[in-house]
Amino acid sequence: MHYIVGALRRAVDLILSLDPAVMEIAWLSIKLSAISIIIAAAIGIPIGFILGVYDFPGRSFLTSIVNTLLSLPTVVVGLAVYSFISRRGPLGRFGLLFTPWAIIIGQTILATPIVTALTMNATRSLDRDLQLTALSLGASRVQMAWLLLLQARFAVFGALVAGFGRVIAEVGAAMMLGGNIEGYTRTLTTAIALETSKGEFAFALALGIILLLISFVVNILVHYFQQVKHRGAYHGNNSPRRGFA
Amino acid sequence: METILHVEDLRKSYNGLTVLDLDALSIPRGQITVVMGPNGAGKTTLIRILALLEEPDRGTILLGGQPVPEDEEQRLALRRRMGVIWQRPALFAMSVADNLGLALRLRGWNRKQIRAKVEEYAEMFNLGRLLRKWPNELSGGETQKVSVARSLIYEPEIMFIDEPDTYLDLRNRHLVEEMVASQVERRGMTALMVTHSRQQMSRLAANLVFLQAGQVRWSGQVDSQDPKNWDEELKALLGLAEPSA
Repeated sequence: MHYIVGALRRAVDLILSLDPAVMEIAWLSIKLSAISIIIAAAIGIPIGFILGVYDFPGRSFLTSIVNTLLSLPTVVVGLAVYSFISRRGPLGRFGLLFTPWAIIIGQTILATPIVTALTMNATRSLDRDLQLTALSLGASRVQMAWLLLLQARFAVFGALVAGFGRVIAEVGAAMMLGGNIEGYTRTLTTAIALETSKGEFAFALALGIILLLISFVVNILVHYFQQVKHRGAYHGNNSPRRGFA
Repeated sequence: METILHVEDLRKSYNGLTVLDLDALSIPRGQITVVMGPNGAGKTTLIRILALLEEPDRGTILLGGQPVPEDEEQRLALRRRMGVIWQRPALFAMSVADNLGLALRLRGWNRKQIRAKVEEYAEMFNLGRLLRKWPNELSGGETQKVSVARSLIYEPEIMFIDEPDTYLDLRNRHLVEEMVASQVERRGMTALMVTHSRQQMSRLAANLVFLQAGQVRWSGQVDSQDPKNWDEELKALLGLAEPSA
């Protein structure tokens, strides 16, 4: 027990003293996950919006695929991307393996289905009356799409935060694709695995606490966006009786 | 009397069920035409088609004597000359002030112009204290009042009004009627209003169209507010026929 308390104390010291090695790993993790989420947003939000708002043949099939991809195991993604970017793979000539870009590719593949599915759910739950209202106010088709996305924006922000939470905490893809190179591709999760195996318990614990803190902030943000999205209520939330009070 | 809207041989069906089957119908310019009829008579479908928000299965719509074009840009220009007040008001997830100014923003007005117009209409509709509120903070009556003001603010040439009273108390019902009537009188707006209320019809209507099972059963001018002076067929349709001796 003394051993754990001692390690915990040293871990807190490392965080409070802003230990450069700890901070460098934390910052790299946040940076790579943020870039992955930006790319996943660029892919997932438009696809999720189209699947949520428009009716077309094959929509339910595509929806099933997106939902299936939600539970992609990180090591499978790592393996698949590895086979593509390893020296003998089709993208081998770009030399991406064991670079930060390899991790970003893997994390983007993990985050995109989350962003797509949550955007799809958010826009699908919008009332069809909103589309007619937008058009009747003189919106062009593009303006209407923009207004619907604006209506769902809190839920979409929530989707991005949820995706960020998933990728910053994953270890499989980061380990296989990044190679855990110090100062280059060593992320919070891969460093925790390595430091624990080396017996550097306090250092690993410090990184674990930072990861927990990030998860905590992510959860608070997700909760906030879930709450705030109801501010965009319309007639459905307003009982007509209230008008007579 | 000049005709602003004329339809011929208009037909619309959903899932094989015909909801609208009109041989011909003309709406005079610069007056209030009231559409009445039992539930399922096709009143709301008629509004959606005339407001160019839905395509009929077949038929011709003439707007100011000209057929409605197929081209999306030209249709958008026509839609921007029209407005719709819906039975179930839908506000967007933004402040009341932003909702009020939305149609002006869609038309490319600048901030200063929008603010001035929003303030003018907020005063007219007694909405000043609500401008910073969000839709979920409004009562049903306030929501409808905002939606009515939002549709009138860009001063459409033709206003379609679909049973606006559902969420309004008596005082606000009269306020909305007054606002619509004043725009008809002041700047020659044409209004097509669906209502179930005979009293409202006799207060406002210059013309009446009675729909039943998707067809026009009666249409013509309403010369008198007193039902006693109405023709027998209309009285029978409105359930006002005196029992025969």
